[in-house]
Amino acid sequence: MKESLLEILCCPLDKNDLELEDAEYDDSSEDSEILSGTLVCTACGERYPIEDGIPNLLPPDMREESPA
Amino acid sequence: MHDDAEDGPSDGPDDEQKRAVAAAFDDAAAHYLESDAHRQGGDLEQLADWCADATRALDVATGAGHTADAIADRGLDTVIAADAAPSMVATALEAYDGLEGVIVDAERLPFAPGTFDAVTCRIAAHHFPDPVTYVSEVARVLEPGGTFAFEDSVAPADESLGTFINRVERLRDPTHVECYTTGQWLEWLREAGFEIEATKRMKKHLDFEDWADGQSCTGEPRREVERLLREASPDAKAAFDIEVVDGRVESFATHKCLIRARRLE
Repeated sequence: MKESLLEILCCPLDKNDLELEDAEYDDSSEDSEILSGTLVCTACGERYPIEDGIPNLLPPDMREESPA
Repeated sequence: MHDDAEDGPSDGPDDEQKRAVAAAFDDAAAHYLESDAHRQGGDLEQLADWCADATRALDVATGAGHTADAIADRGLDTVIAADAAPSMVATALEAYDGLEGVIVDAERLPFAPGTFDAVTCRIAAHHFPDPVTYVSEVARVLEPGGTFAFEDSVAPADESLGTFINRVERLRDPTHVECYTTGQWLEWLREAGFEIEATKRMKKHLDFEDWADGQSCTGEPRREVERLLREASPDAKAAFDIEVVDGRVESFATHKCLIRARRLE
């Protein structure tokens, strides 16, 4: 995912801002591509994973423990 | 603390339902990329044309990404392909360049208010347990004046025909929630603060075997759904163009509605 996507993403539960933690970037791309990391809600603390460059913003009650 | 959905919090059965849909579509991802019914058709071009002037669009329940790609072709700066099934999002991003992917629940969208000037959703909302909350979420993430280009399978106004087609769809795909009437969608949209700019109705003709294969409908449910179609009332046969040849259902048609709605200021 492009780093600029962070500006429009929010917590699906309370719609508050997210903070990026433990980010790994793809150095080969021109834009800042985030490969993995964790998005953490600044209000409720819920954590959302970024895996294979795709942020998973499913609320925890819908998230599979091991993605298919 | 959480779940600020306007029309009642999501409860257990809804979440189970949504997880089941996501899992079913993870299984069906490859088929949908190849599916003629989801790839072709003037409806796709129509939805994309309605978004041609937008700059940043969200495609909800993107599936294999056909709609997201069609919008991106209109030259938008940013198109986000969003789905509840992780493998669907991955499939869409592999198939098409220039898309961004996000895994989302359509009824709890993870985007700031007014983020988009276009939102699309093509032939998917009949899987959503809470369409009222879904529509209010679309209104929230659209900026005032933004376009919602929507298409779904709909039920005819005649109640018995609606019951019939929903029964057929549920037998083939247990994650099917409900096809609503066009009038119901228009009412929900207006209540959520949309103005209706255009409504188009069309039929989509489906080869029975391909349609059943699409959700791996086999065995007894497949025989049952074929029997329902074969033995349908004359009214239903006419409404859904059910073609029976030598005792086998060859094809039938579902009703689709395309709606262009504008978020009011």
